[in-house]
Amino acid sequence: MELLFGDLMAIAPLEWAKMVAMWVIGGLLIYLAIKKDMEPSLLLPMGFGAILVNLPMSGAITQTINGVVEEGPLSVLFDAGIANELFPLLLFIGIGAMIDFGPLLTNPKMMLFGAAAQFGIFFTLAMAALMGFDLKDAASIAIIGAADGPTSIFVSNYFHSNYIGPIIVAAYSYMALVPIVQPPVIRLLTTKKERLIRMPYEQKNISKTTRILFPIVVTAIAGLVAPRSVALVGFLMFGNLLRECGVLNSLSETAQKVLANLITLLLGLTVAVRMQADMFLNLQTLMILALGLVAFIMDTAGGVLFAKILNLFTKNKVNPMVGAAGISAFPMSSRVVHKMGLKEDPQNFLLMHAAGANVAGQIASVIAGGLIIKLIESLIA
Amino acid sequence: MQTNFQVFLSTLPVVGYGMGGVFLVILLIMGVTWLFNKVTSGRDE
Repeated sequence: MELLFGDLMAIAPLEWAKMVAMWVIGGLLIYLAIKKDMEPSLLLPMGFGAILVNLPMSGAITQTINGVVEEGPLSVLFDAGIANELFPLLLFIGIGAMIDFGPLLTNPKMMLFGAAAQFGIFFTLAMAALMGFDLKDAASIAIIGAADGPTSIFVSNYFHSNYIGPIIVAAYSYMALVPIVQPPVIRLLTTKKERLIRMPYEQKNISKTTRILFPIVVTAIAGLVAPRSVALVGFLMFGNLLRECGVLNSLSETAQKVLANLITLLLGLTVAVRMQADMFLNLQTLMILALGLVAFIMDTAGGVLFAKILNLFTKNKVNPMVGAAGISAFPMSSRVVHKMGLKEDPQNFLLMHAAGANVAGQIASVIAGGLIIKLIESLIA
Repeated sequence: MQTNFQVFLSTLPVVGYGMGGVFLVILLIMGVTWLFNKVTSGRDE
């Protein structure tokens, strides 16, 4: 018995309690992924990974046992793909290849809502600082408001945040909860009359040249203003260029399907390295989950309020709900806004406008990520 | 050692410059997109 269970019996009860708590959390993430269909591609691997890394003396992570360092595969993968930000960037190629910027190019005004809906990031930065987090951690927490997994991983890893585990759990959980989080905020900030504003959609033919030049120009402009965003924007736009160029269809398909699925598979499992009990079970995790919710709420509020302000100055009124679609949670947010629009008026089709704002949010969130890195670095220096 | 409030105050310029920077980039991209649409409309598909 001693031979088999001696090591286990030497573990203190408190350590056992922490490990069991993490097994429950891992189980909860798996349950949410399977039963509630909440971002299953990330929450399921993260949940399972949380169980793997919280088993006693787990061989999945690098451990020092009796003075000997034993490398674990998840730690190796973490160093190979998360610590150097490689996995989120590769995933962005796939995401870029999936995005159709057509609705946005048809109505470029929607880009403004993508910008406005990043307000939650900066608001949360200030709140996190007020709550006692240092600037790097505050920035890492704030980027949950980007509503974008790769950007959240990129920025929090760039700042070597100790809270990367809860940050990513918060980011992906709230992205899945957009249909629950956004509608009450939208209803609170808009009147019935505003929600009934119709926005006719005029299908325009976007030239192939525009579709090809767009990702190149976006990368150049964003890179000049926020150099730290070049990797994020560049990889996203490279994926989009693969899609739009018309001569690399097999690469585009590979990026959209094989590459995106492969990286997603590894990403969730690997991020769990930061979900070890000692890193995860603390008051800061609860604060981060709360701040993440604040970020999403303020993103929604920022987009809606900006649309309302814009309506004071424009003849062609914008339905303020479309502002909320400027959050980067694509395509969930645009569908939520479209459904809310139909509920108010079954003849009001907001989907294309909302989709334009939604993809603009993808671009704006990446720019916000690059800017937050640049500004916080200069503040700390 | 700075207080939490002091750290909070130090983030306010980041909030301003950050949102300003995002809008600036978006406006530049909008401008260029509008130009592309104007120049290339009626040409290729």
